[in-house]
Amino acid sequence: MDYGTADIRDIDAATPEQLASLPFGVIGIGEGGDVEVYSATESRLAGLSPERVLGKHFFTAVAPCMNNFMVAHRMDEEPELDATIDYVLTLRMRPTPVKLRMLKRPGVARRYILIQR
Amino acid sequence: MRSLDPGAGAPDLAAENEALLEFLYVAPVGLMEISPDGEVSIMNPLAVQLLMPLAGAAAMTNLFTALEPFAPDLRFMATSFKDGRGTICENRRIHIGQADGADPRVLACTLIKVDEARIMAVLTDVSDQVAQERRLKQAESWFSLILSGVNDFALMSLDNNGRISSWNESGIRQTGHERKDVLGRTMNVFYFPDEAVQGRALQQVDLARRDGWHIDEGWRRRKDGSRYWCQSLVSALEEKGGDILGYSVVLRDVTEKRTSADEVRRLLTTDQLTGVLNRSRFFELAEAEIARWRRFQQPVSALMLDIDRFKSINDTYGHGGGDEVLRAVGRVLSGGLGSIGMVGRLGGEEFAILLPSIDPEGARSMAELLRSGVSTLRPTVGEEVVPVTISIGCAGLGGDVDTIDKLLKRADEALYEAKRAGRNRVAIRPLGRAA
Repeated sequence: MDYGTADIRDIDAATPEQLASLPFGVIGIGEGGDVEVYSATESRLAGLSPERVLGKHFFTAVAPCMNNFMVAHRMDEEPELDATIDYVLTLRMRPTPVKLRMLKRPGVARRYILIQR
Repeated sequence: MRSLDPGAGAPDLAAENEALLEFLYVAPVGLMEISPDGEVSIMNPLAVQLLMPLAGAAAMTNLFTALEPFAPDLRFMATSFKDGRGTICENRRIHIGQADGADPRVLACTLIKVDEARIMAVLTDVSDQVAQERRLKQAESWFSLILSGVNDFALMSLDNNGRISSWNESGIRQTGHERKDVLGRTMNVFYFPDEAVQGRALQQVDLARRDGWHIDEGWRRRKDGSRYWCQSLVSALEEKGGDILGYSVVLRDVTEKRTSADEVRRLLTTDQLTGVLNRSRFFELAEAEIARWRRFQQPVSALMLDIDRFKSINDTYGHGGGDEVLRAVGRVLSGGLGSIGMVGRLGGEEFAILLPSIDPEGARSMAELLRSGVSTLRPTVGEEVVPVTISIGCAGLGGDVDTIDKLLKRADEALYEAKRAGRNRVAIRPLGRAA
């Protein structure tokens, strides 16, 4: 799967091992806003183990940096979304320019954020 | 297991590091370490959350660049700070826009110089706080305007038992009561005694306790006994837990508006010639009385009355004479009953009177007073005195007489009897007798 073209349905169907082999991070958010998928790549780059992250509310307890109208608001409000934006994350507290690809599609319960450093 | 716990055995640096990271990820303030010219070396996610929408990804690496459009002097403040360490600014408010009159968006920024190479920056979003301050300021100026300038408002507060706990100039101006007259008393002090007995003031407090607020209006009494038409708003001061701390009250003197409303109501409800109720208003009030009677079964009586030989009065003295007679009779009826009954002109020379709380015998006595009162009238038309008498029929609600129509029909039968018996007299239909 390629960062720019990966389909949300393929990502949703992928095994943890398949996600771990990807060069970009994958975060899957359930309908209630809790983290349900946290790929090994993302875990390594962010410095947080999956056990610390899974089951927590993503925008308030894991990544408040994305809790604004550019990310959280769009993902909550738009019924269908496939958008890639430039962003800055604080990976280990260093401001790091990244690309965020936000994916949401009717029929797929989870929303996904793909992060490419 | 959190390895920050000192009882956790051998220090696990990786886990400790992760816990620290997580702590910084979720810290609810923006934290940054920057160089004296603003370059960001360390920042936590909340700092990104706050700055990203302002500056975009490109400008994120320098705090002063990111805030340049909103606080252009920040860079200068930092570079011109001569001491080796110290606070450059503390909770400096930065307005970051307030598009189309919405609530303001404001960041508070603190810069602390740690050493020659490093500044700690703390950013917090204080938009809510600023909005709240604005509201308070607006409320304050609103209230001070009312307190000082506007004459027809009085403000006071009540404790949680509904007793007056504060009183000021506006209340003295409106009611004439001084502090010592009202403190510790209930709002009954503003009511006329008959209404105070009914407990309307306390009722209003009860309703405000239940609903949060309540508006009422009616006649209230000043200290000197004069009355004014007052709108009162009582609102409960509630604590977060739902406990009522007390109430705030606004009294508004709207007597002047009331007077013109009264005038309109008078025009709509009275008979222009005689000043008694017009037909539709009479039936409206009578229906309400009947409804009350159905609930409480207190006696209700009615009189039907009619001016004797009115047609010949008209024929002899003209319509002007007839009108003068009607006016004179109307005055006797209204004046003789005071507030005991309701007088309506049903048409022509025919009047009806409803007497709540009065049984047919009592009604007969009143009818007799009215009859004799009219018989002593000496209305004049030009130079001539017009003799005038009335006949009256009485009846009461009860038995099969249970509507206003049946009641008036029964009284009308009695009236016919009085006419047949020679006029200028009163006849009564006792309760329960078949028509």
